[in-house]
Amino acid sequence: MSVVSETLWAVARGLPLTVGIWLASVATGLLVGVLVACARHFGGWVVNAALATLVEVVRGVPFVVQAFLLYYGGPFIGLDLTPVVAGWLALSVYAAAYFSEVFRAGFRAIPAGHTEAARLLGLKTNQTITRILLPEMALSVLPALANLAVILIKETAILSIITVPELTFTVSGVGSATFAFAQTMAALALSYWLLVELTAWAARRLERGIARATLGTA
Amino acid sequence: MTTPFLQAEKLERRVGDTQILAGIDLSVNKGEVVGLIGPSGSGKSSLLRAIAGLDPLTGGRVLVEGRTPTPGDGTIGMVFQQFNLWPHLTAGENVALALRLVRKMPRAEATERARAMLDRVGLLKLADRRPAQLSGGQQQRVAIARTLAMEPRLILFDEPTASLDPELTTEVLDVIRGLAETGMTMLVVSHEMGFVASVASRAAFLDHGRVLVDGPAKAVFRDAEEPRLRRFLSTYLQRVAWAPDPEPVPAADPGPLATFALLQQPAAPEGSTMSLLGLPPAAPPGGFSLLDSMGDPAAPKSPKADG
Ligand SMILES: Nc1ncnc2c1ncn2[C@@H]1O[C@H](COP(=O)(O)OP(=O)(O)O)[C@@H](O)[C@H]1O
Ligand SMILES: [Mg+2]
Repeated sequence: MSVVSETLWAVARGLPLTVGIWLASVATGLLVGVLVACARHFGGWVVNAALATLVEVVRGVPFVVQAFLLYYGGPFIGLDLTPVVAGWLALSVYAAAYFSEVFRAGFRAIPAGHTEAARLLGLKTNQTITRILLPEMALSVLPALANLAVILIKETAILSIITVPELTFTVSGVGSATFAFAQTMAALALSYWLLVELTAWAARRLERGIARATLGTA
Repeated sequence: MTTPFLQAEKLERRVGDTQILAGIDLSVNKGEVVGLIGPSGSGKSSLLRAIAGLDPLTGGRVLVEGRTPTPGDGTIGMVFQQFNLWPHLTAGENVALALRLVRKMPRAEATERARAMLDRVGLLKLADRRPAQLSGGQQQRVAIARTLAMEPRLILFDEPTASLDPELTTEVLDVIRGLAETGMTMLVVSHEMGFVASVASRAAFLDHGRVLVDGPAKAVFRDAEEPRLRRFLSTYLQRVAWAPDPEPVPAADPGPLATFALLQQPAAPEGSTMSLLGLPPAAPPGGFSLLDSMGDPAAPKSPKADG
């Protein structure tokens, strides 16, 4: 097999897992991030301080170290995970920490009166969050969230070192076997770049959709 | 009916070293409209927020018909200076949301009721606009419709027109005046003295977290013996001092007395705010006297000021 076809085959094998872990981590990270931000915004100062510390720890440690710790250190505390599950979990935690900060800024940017009006009219806190606060901030937090999602695509490459057979793992394997490092790395670069472009395009479409839904403008 | 509808007893709120509410007693009977006046920072907003249960008290209690209301229990509605409409929803959706989520109305019914409420404030045609596409006065009327839709027993207005241009102020005050005529119990914080004097049956003057004067609105404005109230009201007179004044003013201290005289000018037929202040938009027919009505109890008064 030629280097080119081997590289293409490696891309084809690695890409689905990269996209899969990435999408799963973004989804989990968004969900946990929203919950963390809500708890920090609406919970008391104890909850806020505890979660703030957690977020700081996650943001303060390089992702490669976190992935290592979870995968290789996990078994010592009875957490024996497969590489894929460990990768998804590590990336989700990492994503959640950053996403939560974006949502927290979103909550803070909304005038307190919008929440107070809802409260006096009888809306529950969860209704206020889902029906008022999140839709209201959607358009303004989207660019920051999309930016993080793009960064997370590239962080998935780190999961190759805990032997997740994703894009970087499969393609760099071809490089090591054939010594065609330049070609394989170029293929890798192109693949990530295409994913990032796709994400940016999707985010732009989403932004238009949200603008139509929340501002009534096209 | 011996116990008042709303009873606020010894309300105290202290944040750090600041005594925001320093023992406020206030009672309001059903159907009464009470105007709250006072200088900026005197605690008017804090009082309303304490009554609504939005801010915790450090002392005292609030009772509505003997029970302490909690925010969202349907007892108290509030209209804010900044409207606080939800910007991502249309006017109709702003009004309908709580009907659907809190009253559990089916969508069609909630929409119908929201339209009826918007019609009441004269905004049926704009039901599909978002707040950003409405003027300030229209936004405030939507906010009033949103509050009315939930049928509160008591409505608190916190400077509802303070961020509106004068011509938009009138349309909002007219809505509130209409509500007063339906017997709605209301507490209105406002710097529109003419409005307070004509619509409120009672007025309370706050200063430094205390109620310094509390009485029938007309008496509060006319007698104004409390020195700080006098000083406060005289600033409003200065603001309307450009009004034509053919007669010499006899009193050395025009102060609040003259202010009240202004308030007693007969209302224009359309009952606009300007007319309540005694300042007709056009030059007044037959001259305009500040103090004409003071010595003459039979002088024409705004019909609504009599209520
Ligand atoms: N959360 C707070 N913390 C500290 N001081 C406050 C707070 N809220 C209001 N105040 C102070 O309480 C006083 C009364 O405020 P406010 O009720 O808004 O007055 P008003 O509505 O009459 O202008 C002001 O001096 C204000 O600075
Ligand atoms: Mg205020």
